[in-house]
Amino acid sequence: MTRFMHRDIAAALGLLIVGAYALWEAREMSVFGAIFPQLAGAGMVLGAILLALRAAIWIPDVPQNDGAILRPLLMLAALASWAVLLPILGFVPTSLIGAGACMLIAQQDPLPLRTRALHFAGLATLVVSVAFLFGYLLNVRLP
Amino acid sequence: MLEALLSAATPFNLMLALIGVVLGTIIGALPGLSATMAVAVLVPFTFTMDPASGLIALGAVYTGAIYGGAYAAILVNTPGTPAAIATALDGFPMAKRGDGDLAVTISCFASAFGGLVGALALLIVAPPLATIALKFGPVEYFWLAIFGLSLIAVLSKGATLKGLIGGFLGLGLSTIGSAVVGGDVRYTFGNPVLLGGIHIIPALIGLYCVPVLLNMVATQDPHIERAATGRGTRVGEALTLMWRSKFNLVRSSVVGTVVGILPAAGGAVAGLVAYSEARRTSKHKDQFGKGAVDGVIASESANSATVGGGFVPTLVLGIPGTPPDAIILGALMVQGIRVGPQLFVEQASTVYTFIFGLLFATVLMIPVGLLIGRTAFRAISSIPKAVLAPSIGVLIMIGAFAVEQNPTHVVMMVALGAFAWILLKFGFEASPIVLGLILGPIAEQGFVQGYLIGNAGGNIWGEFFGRPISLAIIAFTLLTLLWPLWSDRKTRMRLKGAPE
Repeated sequence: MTRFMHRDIAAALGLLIVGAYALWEAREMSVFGAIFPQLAGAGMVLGAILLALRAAIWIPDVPQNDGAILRPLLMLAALASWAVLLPILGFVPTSLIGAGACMLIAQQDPLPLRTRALHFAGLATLVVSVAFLFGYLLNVRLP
Repeated sequence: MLEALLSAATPFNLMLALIGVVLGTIIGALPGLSATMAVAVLVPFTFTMDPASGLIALGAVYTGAIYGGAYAAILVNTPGTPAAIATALDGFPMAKRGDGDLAVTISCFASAFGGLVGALALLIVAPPLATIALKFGPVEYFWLAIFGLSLIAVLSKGATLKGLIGGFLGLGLSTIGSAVVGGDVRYTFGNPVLLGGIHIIPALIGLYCVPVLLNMVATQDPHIERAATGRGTRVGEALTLMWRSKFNLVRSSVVGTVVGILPAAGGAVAGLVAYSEARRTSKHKDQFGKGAVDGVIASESANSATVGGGFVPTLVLGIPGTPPDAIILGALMVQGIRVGPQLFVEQASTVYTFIFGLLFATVLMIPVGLLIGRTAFRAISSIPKAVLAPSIGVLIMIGAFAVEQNPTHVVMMVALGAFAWILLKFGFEASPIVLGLILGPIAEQGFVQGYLIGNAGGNIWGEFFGRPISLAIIAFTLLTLLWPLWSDRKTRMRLKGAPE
């Protein structure tokens, strides 16, 4: 990001698009229904302009150490898949798969198979306990 | 009174209070399970009890749940309940630097103190206090929300522009769905799922917890610093720090009680207002947001004080102060108790037994909270990331789903989490977005209704700027915004005048 564009200018561009969309949509709303959407949209557009100006004129971009990016992206993909599959496969199977995937992603160092199996057994116990607590004791209709 | 005290102190009622506090604390600690749900689930069990015992059980669950929300806020940066939003601001930084055990202990004592102040207010001055609720109109709610939003400037010192933009983003998110007044359908992209807007619980989980989870796997650093051995629960240290912050503690508890009395304001608003005041009056403003003990004390004492405060309009006027109060009001009606100004005379025995039971439950919260808090801190600080990350994953999935048993909320939670994580990469914190999201609907409803009332009366300006409570809130808002500038200027002048 820093090699191509100032970080804040990229953020300002995104904000400008969202703010402009908010204002555009607000045209169709009633007078009272449009007040706060217009306020939010105008605030975002104004904020985006100020942010871009500040980035372009006053503040130099400072490269930031974001840490590793692959693992967070994999974790996000795992969470997204977990959320989408939840109503299809049901809570327990999806959670076992999802928790297993998250465990593998979060594992930084290679662990012996036995330790991994123990970790997964602990997670499986948590999933079943949560399902029992919510499904039976709290009467939540789990998928 | 003495008879009610003895009646509340029977072994059965004390056992109910203890079980209620334990259950409430555990339920409140799980993100997604709110105090409302904790109370709602247990209501049917109280139907077979006598009214006072049933009320004690429900009050204890409610008290425990509000306090329990602090654990997740401190240890995982995810408020277990919306009331603990302000607790996360300083509680999690404390945990990051290795003071998670101290933060948990302080939150326990502060919650107990706030809970006692709220319950004592209910015991001693309930009827006159209830009249405050009647003086709050839409305009006062609008200004109260603006006061809460002014906290954005406080929270984002050093990045004010990004904080304000975050507030507008939150405000924009709060407008999704049907308009609170008028029923306009806004920003739903034709998707009926978005008609109800963004539910606050999945939003809180997504905005706060998902970025923590994603950042957790990015490095090998521990999630929070591990507990140092041999420090126990750090009770002495916590009590010393609280004694130093006694004015903050008392002020925040009073703020929580008063905000609790206002229908629909709730623990989140109380915590934020008390936090804002604590920061404004603190000599160490720069420590707020970086692990200030005063921030945790303010938030926790205020949100717990709303429990007793919320019962004031519920019992005296029949107007529930918070959603759990509404459920308890329903339980009272099922028991055949008619609430109203005469309740404290006609049903004095039941009401005072309940209030003393609430006081006992609040006191019982101390050993329960210390025990559960210590265990939770040790567990979370020692579990390897490979187990902690998926465990949090399971809890946030079920938490987002369980609110309304809606799988769409889970998807919404993950989407908002991804959004918050990307924004964090660009230097935007989640707290201003959450403030906009929570306070936006309160401000919008108050503004539109106030405008309509003012317009009908032919005096819009008078409606917004001519009412005494409104003026007081406006003054506090200006004070909150301008005080740091004045204080900085004073410090600069002093430094300039000081001899070399």
